[in-house]
Amino acid sequence: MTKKLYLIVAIVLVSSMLMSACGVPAVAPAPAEPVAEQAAPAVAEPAPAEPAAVAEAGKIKIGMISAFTGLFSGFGEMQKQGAVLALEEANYMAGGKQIVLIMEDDQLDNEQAITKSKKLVEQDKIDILTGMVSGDEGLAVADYMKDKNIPVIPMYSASEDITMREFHPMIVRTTWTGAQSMDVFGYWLAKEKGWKKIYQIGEDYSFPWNQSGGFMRGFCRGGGEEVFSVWSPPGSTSDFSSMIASIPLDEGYDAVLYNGGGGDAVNFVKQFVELGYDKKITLIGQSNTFEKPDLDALPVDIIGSYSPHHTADDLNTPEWNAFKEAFNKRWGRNPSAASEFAYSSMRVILRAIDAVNGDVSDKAALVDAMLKVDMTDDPRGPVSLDPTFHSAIENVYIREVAKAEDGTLYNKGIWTVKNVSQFGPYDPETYLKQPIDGNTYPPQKCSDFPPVMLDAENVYEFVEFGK
Amino acid sequence: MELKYIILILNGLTQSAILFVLGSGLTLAFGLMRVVNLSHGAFYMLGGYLGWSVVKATGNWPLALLVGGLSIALLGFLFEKTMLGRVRGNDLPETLLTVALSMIIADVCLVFWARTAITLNVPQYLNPTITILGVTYPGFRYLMMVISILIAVSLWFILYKTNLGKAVRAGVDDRETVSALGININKIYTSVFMLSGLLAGLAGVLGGSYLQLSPGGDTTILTLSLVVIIVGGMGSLLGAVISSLILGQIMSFGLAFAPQYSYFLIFIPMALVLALRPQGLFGRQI
Repeated sequence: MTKKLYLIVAIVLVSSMLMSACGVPAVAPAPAEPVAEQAAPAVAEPAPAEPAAVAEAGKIKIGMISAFTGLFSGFGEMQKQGAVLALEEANYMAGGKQIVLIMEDDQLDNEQAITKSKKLVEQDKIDILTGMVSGDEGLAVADYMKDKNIPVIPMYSASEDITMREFHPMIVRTTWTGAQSMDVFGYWLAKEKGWKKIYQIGEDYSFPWNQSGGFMRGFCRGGGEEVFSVWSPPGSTSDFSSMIASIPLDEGYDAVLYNGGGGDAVNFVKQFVELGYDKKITLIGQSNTFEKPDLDALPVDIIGSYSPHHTADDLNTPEWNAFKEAFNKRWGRNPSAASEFAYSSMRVILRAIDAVNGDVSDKAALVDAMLKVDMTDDPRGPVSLDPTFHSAIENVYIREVAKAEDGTLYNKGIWTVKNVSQFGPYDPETYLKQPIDGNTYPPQKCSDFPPVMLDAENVYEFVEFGK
Repeated sequence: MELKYIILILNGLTQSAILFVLGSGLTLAFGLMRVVNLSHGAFYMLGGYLGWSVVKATGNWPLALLVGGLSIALLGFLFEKTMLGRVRGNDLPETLLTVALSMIIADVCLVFWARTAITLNVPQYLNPTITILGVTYPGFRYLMMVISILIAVSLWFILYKTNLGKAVRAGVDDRETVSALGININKIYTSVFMLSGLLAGLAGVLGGSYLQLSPGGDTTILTLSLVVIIVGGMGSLLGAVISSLILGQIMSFGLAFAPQYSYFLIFIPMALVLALRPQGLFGRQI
């Protein structure tokens, strides 16, 4: 009998360790999703059989790793749909070659992400690697890929160091960093709304740290005083009501910033409303808090809540409308930022392959071609790429949650700031001298900030949304 | 300030409610059958998802609770009759079989239900905002506490006041003698496994309404329910009550005061119990 007891204890310990591995909620021994191998309609033969025969076979293989299960499965799913749409529009062809997409589920686990990258690199002999949802996932994969001479195009993964302190020349991120949108947001709240104190509750890992870092820099630069922060590991609990009950209502905080996304955000926001806190203090979110598809699960009481992102659901440009319509037609739902980012990244990949006429043997030339792709017709607004750090310079939209005619919630744009880089208004050199964003940096009190961070040379220009 | 502590305690009790419904099902099956059902978390998830579909189709939450519970009871029945019964008494095949079932269920859920987090909509009449002495708290959470108390009382009644319960308790002590007395122990095994499934299904609907259901969530739930029965003592109903009460408060206060470590805090009582009293607080020496 004791044997059995030990067996159980072992199982509990192993699964709990797996779940807490590296601060990212692995979904433990969750069911491995059967490898979704999406080849061009007619060809679906398994990859391993052909040994690096890419050139002869005339096919280009793109590997895509993402979290299709787990806490952020919503983002993973949206990402997949965006990428597949871009491929289908190109008919799985680019530069005269057939494109094969090989998808792998890493279950939002860093170890799994590396194992799957390894499989894609060594077994499938991919030419390009893309995907990645969470910040940690992206950092882990980028680190593994460092010496593989294969272009890595992170889609939704936004830890800034992938294109900053950990940058290597095979990385091209056409999407965003955590701080990019939040710096604008924090600045706007302090400068335009006149808010002084924010109470932040965040998920304890790299992406929210980076979002918080951007937010604090912007908020303090704009004249704020304090961003008090509480952190809890993502996925470690689904009952936040005790953290909510601990929010002080009498200490002059202007708002609560929930710095988390996915399943955690759904729980947090629901409980915030259920405990009646929406009537006591303003709730604002980070970029993912109110994103689709999770927004559909949120209560209508949060109408009016602000968040920043690089997309807004009511963008009214020909590019966005065309994308939205195509996405709706293919998948029967409206696109989210994650699907737009995936669509846009995949389009850059395809256009670069076109530009090199399908010859992907020279990887450096391929990366160069990606950097030169014209992204002015991107659905989310014009994007250009920074030639030094291979990161995006693009619009940031301040949005508020609104209710559509059919009763569903969406993110309505209110202000636009154009051409924001990953360094925000700072000059790259100064920015890179600062410590990496974490759960203890930047300091919670603006008075403890290094003066150089409170005084940037560039100032954002807020343009009314849609103008 | 006291207001905060009252809410923390209430949160702890809500957590306890769900932990108890989960843990009691698992402990019951283990006490009698000596089977650690590692698909308990998957049962929870499937029950929740079925309930979600019912709510979506009919908007009737009580019906969802019923369907979620009963369908998992039926699944438990079929699984016990056709598979688990065949390998009875062999620890390893029993355990592996339940692991396999949990993987199959989790994959089936991926096929039929959304891959995103979903929540069962609780109708307003079941979730009024209740304010007692200045404490505002969601009515559904009170309802969960009431439901779990009702379940605890019914389980106690079944175990201590009915013939089935007598046979179950006798079976826990000495299986051979019970079968020698002319009681069909196999039937009892099946009933208990069904009951355990019923509880997991109910917990799934409750948990899916109060929190959410998401792919992969089954393993978290399984871990939590194992912690409940290890602390409480495997096979002990009272143990499940007490340990879920303790763990609920630890989770609630942990989140308020040390959110970064809250997940690990629940393993502290488990480690202490294993070191000092390996059979669990109310478990018997085994």
